[in-house]
Amino acid sequence: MEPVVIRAEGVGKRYRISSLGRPENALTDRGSHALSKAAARVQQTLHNVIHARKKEDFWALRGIGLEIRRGECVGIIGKNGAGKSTLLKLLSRITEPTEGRIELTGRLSAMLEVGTGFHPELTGRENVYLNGAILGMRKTEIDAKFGAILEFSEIGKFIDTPVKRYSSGMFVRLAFAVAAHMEPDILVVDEVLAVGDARFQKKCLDQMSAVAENGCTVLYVSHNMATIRQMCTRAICLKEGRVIFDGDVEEGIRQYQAEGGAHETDIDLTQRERMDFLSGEATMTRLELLDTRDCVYAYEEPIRFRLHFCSHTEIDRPVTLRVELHDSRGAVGMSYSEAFAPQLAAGNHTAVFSFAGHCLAPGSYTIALGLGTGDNFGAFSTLDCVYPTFAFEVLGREGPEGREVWRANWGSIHLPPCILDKTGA
Amino acid sequence: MAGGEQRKTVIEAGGRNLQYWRDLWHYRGLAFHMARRDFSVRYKQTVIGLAWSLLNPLLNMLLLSLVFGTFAGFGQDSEVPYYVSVFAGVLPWTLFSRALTVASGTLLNNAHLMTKVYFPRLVSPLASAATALIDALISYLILFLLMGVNRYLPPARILLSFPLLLPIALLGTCLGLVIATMTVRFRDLNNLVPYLLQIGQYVTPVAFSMAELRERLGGGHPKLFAALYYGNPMTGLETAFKWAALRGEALDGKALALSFLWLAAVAAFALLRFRKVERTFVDIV
Repeated sequence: MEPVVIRAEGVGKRYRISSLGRPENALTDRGSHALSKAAARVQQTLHNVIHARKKEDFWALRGIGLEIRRGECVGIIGKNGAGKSTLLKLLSRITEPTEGRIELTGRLSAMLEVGTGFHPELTGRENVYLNGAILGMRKTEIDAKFGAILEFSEIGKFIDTPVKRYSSGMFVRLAFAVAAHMEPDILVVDEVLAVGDARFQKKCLDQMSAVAENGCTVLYVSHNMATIRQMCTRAICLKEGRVIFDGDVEEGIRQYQAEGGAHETDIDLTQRERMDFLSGEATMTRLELLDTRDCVYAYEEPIRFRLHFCSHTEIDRPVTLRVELHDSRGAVGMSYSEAFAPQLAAGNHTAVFSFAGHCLAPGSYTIALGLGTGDNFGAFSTLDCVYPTFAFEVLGREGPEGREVWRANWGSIHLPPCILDKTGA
Repeated sequence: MAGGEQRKTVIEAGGRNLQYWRDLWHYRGLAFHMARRDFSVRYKQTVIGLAWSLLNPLLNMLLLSLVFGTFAGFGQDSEVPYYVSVFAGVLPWTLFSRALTVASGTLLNNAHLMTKVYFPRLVSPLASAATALIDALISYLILFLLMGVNRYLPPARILLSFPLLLPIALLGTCLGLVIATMTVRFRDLNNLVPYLLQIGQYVTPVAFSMAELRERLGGGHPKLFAALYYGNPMTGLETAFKWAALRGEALDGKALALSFLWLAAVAAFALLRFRKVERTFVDIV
């Protein structure tokens, strides 16, 4: 069995959040007079200094125990705020744990961001050396790998051009190329792959897999389950600062997705961000998802929801609802309702819809709803839309052998079955 | 890759000091690259490039010569033109103030880096101190030029002024680090630094010598004099530098020893504070 290269025992990280009492109200209540604002700020600061001990503790991680062996490729998953990034920060020594102990064997390199320390005025070549040094490489090491880095980045003759003249794609390619050639014993990666075009992303993933096959241990944080499936041999699922699952990748992803709770079923749409091209004649105010507690749907189960909206003027055209379906890779499809009202009087309205997602493969999706007038033959004019409006999960089909397995790289649409026309002899 | 030196790293609250110094040594290349970055960035896209690092001490020299020489009548009996001796005082002071300024901003100005990647945080102020040192060496060109124009031959002991640059840069850096640790919580402190240095320039023997000042005061204001003499860490180093660079200046061994005592105390305090703050400052910024 391979030796343990990362051993964490009882690791915890506490953050102090100041709970601000009265003086904060003073800050907002006193109106906009600059002087009184300044006075309030001074008062606030004094308050903070005096009551420094009354700060609230927040444990971003608590009681983390891990053993990771050499050559493992571990995916770390969990919802936002589960503690993934904190864990990476502790491992990469950006900040220290509050309690516990971590032992690392060998050299660890972290890629928490692509192009850390790149300076726009410097040329590509100078940045390679600077960035390499920041990542902990020695000059001789960078010298030796410079050719490979240059080739991987596909920058070519622009290597001696200041980086500020690069396209964002070139910048990212060069930055990743440096990081990808570090050859550490342990590599820690935080979703940096969410950059570059699809072809380059694939190249990055391949490079990381190659690094892992060379005996390097990889820790990879991502929200993209497809890449986790593709790369990782083990998954660690975090929730509220604790490890809730550690083991098989598929099971870990299932745990992560079943966590559900974060999926809202009664959504206030009034405060959500909107594009500025909307006509503003009507606003969607609230969305209730019906017949579900956690937005996790069985295979082919219809998604029913009640939409509350308010029309600010009388609209004399037929109104339609547009449903845009997205998965983690982008748009999956689009659907329109029939014109559900020939015209709308000013005031509040509700309407109940049912979206039959019966071709949706198991996975997680988001839906963006748009209210508009006209039809889907190029004449749709949007009154209001919210991106994304809500998120949901579709489970695999239950069969006699258990739940159906669906690989993310098969796509998100379960196509209709292939029909047998005839069999020959 | 795997294999080779499989060194163990232990991460825990409080950390290990030995490991830290080992890392610092490992990252010496980074200090070099950071210093080089500062230089190349400064000289790219500026028309007069190099001249910028010289302009500042020159302007300072003019200002101080005007205030102390013309207005206050200092330096009447020196054998070298007064402004030359002022420049010999401005050179180490510029080094000190540059080292202090960059060190005091090191945590906040590099926060974008430090929240994303680990390296011993001391690397960055040390790199900046190195840049300030090189600037100081470039300033020697001006000093020699001014001396040459006035057909003034500096004493051979001017060679001793070079090793003096090191404790001067170190003192500036350490004082800057103390401020840096405080700015993490109280950012406004950064705005104070230029004022403090401005004041420091007038209460440090940059444009005058302590002997001349004592003479001028004629025994009056003994407390003020003592404060400038004992309470200003730069007094001894400034005096020693001017002694090395100019004939006719006297070496004040006591003042120099005092400066070194200050340096030891400030350095110890700065390192303790900085090591404590750098562990978790990322959580606050």
